[in-house]
Amino acid sequence: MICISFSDEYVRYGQLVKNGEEYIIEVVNKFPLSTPFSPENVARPELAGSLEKAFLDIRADLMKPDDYAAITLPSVWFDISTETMDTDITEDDLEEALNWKIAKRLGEVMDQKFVQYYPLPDKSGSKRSFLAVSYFKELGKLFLRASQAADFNIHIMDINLFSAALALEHLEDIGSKEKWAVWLVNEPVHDMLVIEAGTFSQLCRFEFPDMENYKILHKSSASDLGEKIVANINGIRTFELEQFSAVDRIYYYSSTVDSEFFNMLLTYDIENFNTIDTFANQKPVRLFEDDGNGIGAMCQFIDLLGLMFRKIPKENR
Amino acid sequence: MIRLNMTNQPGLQVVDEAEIFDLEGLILKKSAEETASGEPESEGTKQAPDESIKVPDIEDIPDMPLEPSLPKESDDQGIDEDLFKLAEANLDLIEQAEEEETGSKAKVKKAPEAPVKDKKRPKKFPLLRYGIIVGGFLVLLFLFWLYSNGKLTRSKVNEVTRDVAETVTEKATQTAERIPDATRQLTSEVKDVTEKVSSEVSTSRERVATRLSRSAAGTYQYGQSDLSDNVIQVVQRGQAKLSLVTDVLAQFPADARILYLRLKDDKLSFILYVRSHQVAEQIRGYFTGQSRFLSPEVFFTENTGKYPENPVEIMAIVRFRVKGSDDRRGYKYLTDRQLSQYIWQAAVESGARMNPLKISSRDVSSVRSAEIVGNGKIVDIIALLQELAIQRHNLEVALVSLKSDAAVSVSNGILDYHLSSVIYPGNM
Repeated sequence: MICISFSDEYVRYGQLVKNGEEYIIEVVNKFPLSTPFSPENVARPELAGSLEKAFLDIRADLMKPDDYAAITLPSVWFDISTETMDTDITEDDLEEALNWKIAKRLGEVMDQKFVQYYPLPDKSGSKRSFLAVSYFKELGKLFLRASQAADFNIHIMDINLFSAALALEHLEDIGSKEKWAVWLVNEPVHDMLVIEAGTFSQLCRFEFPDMENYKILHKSSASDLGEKIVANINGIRTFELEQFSAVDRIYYYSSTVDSEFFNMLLTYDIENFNTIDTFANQKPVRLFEDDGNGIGAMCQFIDLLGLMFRKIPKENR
Repeated sequence: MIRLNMTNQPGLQVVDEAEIFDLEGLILKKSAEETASGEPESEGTKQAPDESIKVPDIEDIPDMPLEPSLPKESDDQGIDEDLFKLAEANLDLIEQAEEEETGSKAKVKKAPEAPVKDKKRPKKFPLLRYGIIVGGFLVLLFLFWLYSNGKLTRSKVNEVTRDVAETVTEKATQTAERIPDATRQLTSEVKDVTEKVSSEVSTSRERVATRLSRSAAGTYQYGQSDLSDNVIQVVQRGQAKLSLVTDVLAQFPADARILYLRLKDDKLSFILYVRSHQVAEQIRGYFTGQSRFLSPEVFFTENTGKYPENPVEIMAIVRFRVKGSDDRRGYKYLTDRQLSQYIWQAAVESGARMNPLKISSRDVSSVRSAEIVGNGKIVDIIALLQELAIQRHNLEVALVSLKSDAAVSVSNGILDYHLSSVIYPGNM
């Protein structure tokens, strides 16, 4: 299984194989992308070429041939929202009702998009909640072409924060009742996923426009929890606060490990605010260490591990 | 945690993939050449198990939402041209939908401000207000009557205006002639009142001074402390930390740029930009050459090139030791107001700007936190910290944070400072 994580400027990948009862991470590596993987470049042929080259480079770097691929992409490429439905809607009508709601949200581009709904556990009992995720089909085509050029078959497509959360949940043994968040430090725009009672609560995109303020750019629901956490982060950043109170804990990681802001965060000594060494428990046979081998460098691969955990049973993690 | 897989079927996802652990993709296939020739495995694939699982070709995956056949060249062109428009249209619609959903667009949040109370103004002189309204109405009626009778012409209006102007001018001249007398009279009255108040204040001061000196003489001896030894020890640790920060700041070259400096517990961390690795080594030498600092936990130097004149970035974490002093004389308990005044005075003398002292609670019998926040030039902040470092009161500075945008050098830039402090009650 080749796990591949795309960020704005880099592609990271790792290979997981099973040998007998043993799960081995053969390689973890990183390449720069020749064209930034960002939505404003979607129509540029250079982006398609860049992705194709990335897959070919990965193929060339593999010691062991493999074609089963799982990819994880930045959340900026997806429209994510939480939709609620009355409990009296029948199962047969449920999908149609969800489609109707999402069509209202997306408008005329609904037909251009691929949409999925994931049931979320009930909180109140009076409503049923669903996580709605959509992306332009063109994005899928882009990856299909690029991966086929290198003879990869994409079987799993995830969002990087969700993959990271999955890895953290197991590495940190986070309790099922805890409220926590994972923050992708990615200047200038940051993304954060909030998890409550073991499941998705909110996705929040924000930025710090200056030294004192924050700005919420997107929330997947009307809940103010994400904004409270961002306000906490801002309070820590401006020294107004000394600890997080909005959630039990916050984990952060970055795809741009040379970011000054990220490196400043690494020096903060706050009890419930941490990053994580992805490979503290299981070292890959060949590991990329050009950015260093400390926790600040290793955390950039956390979403790769999340993809791998999809195939590794709990007892082997 | 929910597991997304956007290669599954579109629509409602009913399979909980979280519990499925299949081996597909984990057991490597033999390469086609190897299979055909029956040759032994190569060095690189020695550990790969013999068994292989057929991974379906992407063309054969029915659930794959990605379109299996590649579109023609001409289709690609059309898709690419339209994609931006579609993306923009989509973005607008998403924003619109979000706006409807959340009730507002993304907004900049500032630090919370005190809510402006909508004060209800008392209605003064209600009868007078009604009188003015009725009077105004009568004037309008009168003007209408004049107009309807032909008495409100332009020449009449000019005549009346001229009369009014002459009357006002005459009255103004008379008033102006009377003003010097009135001013002279007022001045002498104010002078009397001022002298009276002044003499009363002087008398009061003398009385207070006499009372204070009597009280001091009767209660205190020189050097006696109000605070217990335990409190004095923690206050002394705070003093030592402040001294340490001032010493470190004084070591930084004037042309360096500081991003932040933070002291908490026994750890000092900072990011600094200096002009050369040699300067960085001098700073490292400062920390390694003193017994109060442990060997730097992190002292990372790197050429970043972000600031051409300060290309070398230092990121450091240094642990240190501070110890109290045996001199426990003269530690006084101050009330919140007195502490606030004392700290404010220190800021005024240092030249650093300071916000009013924030104290977490009014309960003077408990241990409380206080925040000392402001900004200033580094020399002013050093002066402020030095002043606070010699204070012998019931206030301990527990955490020091300094921060700047590193846009200009240490000597010219403005640093934000934040001192998290603890106020101890008098009965501890």
